[in-house]
Amino acid sequence: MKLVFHYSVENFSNTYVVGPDGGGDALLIDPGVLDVRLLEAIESNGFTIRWVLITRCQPNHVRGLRTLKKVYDAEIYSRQTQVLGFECQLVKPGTHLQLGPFKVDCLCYPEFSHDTVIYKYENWVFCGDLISAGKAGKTGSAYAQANLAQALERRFFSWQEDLLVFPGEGPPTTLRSEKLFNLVRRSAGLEVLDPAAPIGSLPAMEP
Amino acid sequence: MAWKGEDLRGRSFDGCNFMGSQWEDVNLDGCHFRHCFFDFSTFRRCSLRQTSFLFCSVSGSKMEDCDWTGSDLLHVNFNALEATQTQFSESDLYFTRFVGSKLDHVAFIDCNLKKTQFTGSWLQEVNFKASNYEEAEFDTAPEARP
Repeated sequence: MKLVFHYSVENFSNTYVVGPDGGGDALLIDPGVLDVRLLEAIESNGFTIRWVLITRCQPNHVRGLRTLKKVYDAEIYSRQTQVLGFECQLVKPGTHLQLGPFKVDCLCYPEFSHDTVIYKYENWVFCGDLISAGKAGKTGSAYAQANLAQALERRFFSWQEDLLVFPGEGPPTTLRSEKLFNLVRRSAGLEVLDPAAPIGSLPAMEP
Repeated sequence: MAWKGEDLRGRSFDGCNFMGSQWEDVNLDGCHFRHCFFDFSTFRRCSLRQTSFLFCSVSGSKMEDCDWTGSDLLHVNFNALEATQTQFSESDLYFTRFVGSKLDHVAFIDCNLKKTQFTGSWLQEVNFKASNYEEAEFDTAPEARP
């Protein structure tokens, strides 16, 4: 499988496309913008967007949906039944999606926002605004932030360390790095692993 | 993975996994790295002048006596970097992260540090002269890393 990454300068947001090496049906995460560069990247890889996964129904994650739907007849998955007037498949907590060749696990984090869902495909995690490298997503209060920290501890940092994490904003990271260095864990005084411990083999990310 | 004394100038790497690698006395001038992972790597006496690191992760790495002068380091994850005697001068570090880093005698002279994040970092003898640090984050570290 191949991962195509697109950064939108207007939105400060990341869009990801996952598709087969030789082209074919692909899924797209967070259509914040569908501009010429992204379209060229999709077409040059021979992809056809069949499924759209939305991590959060905020404008910078979905603004490009109207344009995308003019080009591709794609199914949309989100935590809302409608986004920008388009019908969506409602993602429920713990859902496992079988989208063509893609087996995608969906995890919801109501502690962060009611409409947040992250998607895990093999060892790639598309976490939207939930995590950005070194930090947790921003909530509205110290209480909500503490709730989120606990939720992340139980249902995110407990995953296997070889996961590559692709946030909705900013650079990629790894779960191992976030377990060791994310400020939400450090500020909570949580026990961190020995950074000198040997690293297991990690699969490469296809260009 | 370990490289010692190699000349790798001008190469391009896309989507590569270099995690846990060792780079010693390596010349990487003019190289292009895109969507690569270098987490927990070590760089000693490496020349990385005018390199391009776009959306890469170098988290948890150690760096000693390296030269990144004139590089494009956009949206790079340098979180928890331990760097000493290292030059980032004349580089573009837009939206790059040094969250929780320990930087000792590191130079960011004449850099673009717009939206660069140094949250929770420990800075000693770090030079930001003539740099644009508009919207950069310098939240005081709650504790200095030992």
